[in-house]
Amino acid sequence: MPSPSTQNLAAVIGVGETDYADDYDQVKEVGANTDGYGYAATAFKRALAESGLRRERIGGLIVGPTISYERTAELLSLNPRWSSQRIAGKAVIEAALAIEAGAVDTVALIYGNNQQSVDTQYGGPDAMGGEKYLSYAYYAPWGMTSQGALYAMTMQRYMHEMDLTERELGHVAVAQRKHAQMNPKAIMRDPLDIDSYLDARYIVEPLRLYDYCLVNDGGVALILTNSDLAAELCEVPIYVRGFGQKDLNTDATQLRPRLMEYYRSAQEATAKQVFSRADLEHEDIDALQVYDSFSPHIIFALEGFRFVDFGNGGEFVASGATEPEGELPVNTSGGHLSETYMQGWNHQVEAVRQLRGTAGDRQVSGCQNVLYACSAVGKVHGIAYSAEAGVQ
Amino acid sequence: MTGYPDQVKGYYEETFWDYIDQQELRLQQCADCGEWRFPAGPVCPACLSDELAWKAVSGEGEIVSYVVFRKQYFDAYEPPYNVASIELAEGPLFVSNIVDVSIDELDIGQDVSLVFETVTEDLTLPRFELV
Repeated sequence: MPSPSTQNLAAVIGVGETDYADDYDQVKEVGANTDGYGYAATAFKRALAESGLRRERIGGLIVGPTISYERTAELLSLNPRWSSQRIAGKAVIEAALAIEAGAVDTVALIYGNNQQSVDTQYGGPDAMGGEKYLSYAYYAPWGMTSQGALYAMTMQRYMHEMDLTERELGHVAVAQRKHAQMNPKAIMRDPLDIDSYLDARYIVEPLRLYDYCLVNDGGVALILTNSDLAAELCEVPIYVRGFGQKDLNTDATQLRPRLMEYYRSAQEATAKQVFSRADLEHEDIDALQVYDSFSPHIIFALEGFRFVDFGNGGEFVASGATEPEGELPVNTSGGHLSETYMQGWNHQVEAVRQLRGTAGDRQVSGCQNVLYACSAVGKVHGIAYSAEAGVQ
Repeated sequence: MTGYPDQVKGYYEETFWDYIDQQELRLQQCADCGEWRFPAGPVCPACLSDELAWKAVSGEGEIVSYVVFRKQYFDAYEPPYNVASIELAEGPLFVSNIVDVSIDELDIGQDVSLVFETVTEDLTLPRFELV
């Protein structure tokens, strides 16, 4: 297994984000006062200020998928040596690869999304490019639409196979709300108990309101550099110590990887690769950030990434193990369900904050290593962040 | 406007829906290795051959999962309505609706059989009923 060079290991030296809760209220009550690029710009300025770098020093740029790469770069007057457009986890992985390979030594990662203001649709004829997607031909005629419905269908089968109850599933949302309650930026901070979870309406049965992520405006940015620069510029660089990926594309439109194996083989392969590259083990992980558009993601990730045995994910969550002070805190900022739906970008920032020790009331004590796990639309990837670069 | 989603037809979907209009559910079967594939496409994902034949499926299948929509996304589909994934006897998983069934009666593992429903002047849909 190839091992990373410590000298060129990528490290996060700056993070920035918008004020999710304030903006949520603003948009709801009065309307937006900016657009996706505006949120991105705010986040970028905050991250850059934290990093101590001048804008001219930025060598690489990766923009998230919800705004145009060109327009973002034009607005921020960034003319990088190397660039890409990627989802959150893949953006970090690519930045790390470019830095480790010596192609660039500084990369800005920038995301902005005004989905709440423009009422972005995630189901129905206007969802996700609608007719441009193959799945539209094979789902929409029968009324099938939205990722939520796909996860509901997957969880339905899981519940049948593993005897998971709706009450047990509800503990995912309940546990995450507890983390969010300690996060002043989180949008949903009212207490959520299991009875309130069960009383809330179904969206696509068996998933209910609190199983679904938020839809809100915001922006996130990160600045990554190589280890040498990070040591010069930053008191507490957070290392991208390992990463991995595995896709399951065969029979994806048929939903086979979801329904027949809950993405397990891809998650297992990814976990092995991440841990091996990072030279870490499951016991070393102090907190887990899981891409959580829907609550089932957490149970599938706990099992697929092998923190628990197959079939034990629900029991693990119901026991309180993923709550604050639990054995393995999950989505310590509240995640997509309760903090903000920044499509995985907020999970990267939270990992960094926990490892810096700046997570305030929600700080996981002794946090040295955080794993990010993402299974979305058949592509699985993972990132191990660490306060230490690791031994070579 | 029928309220049904606009039909999306790539090159191979034309044939798929033409057969359905004639009340036949035909999928492609690779003429080289015999694997059935779905959705329709130009090559066999198993062996990459471009030799194929459109063959009628038996119509038999089993429910591998289902959901009940409680939110409306399409004019033609008023909640509550079910959507199921059916494992056809030939192997592929097929998204459709189970007809003439109440939500309480639905279960994973039930055997189903193909029926065609003409839902509008222009649209026939392959759906399934419990056997």
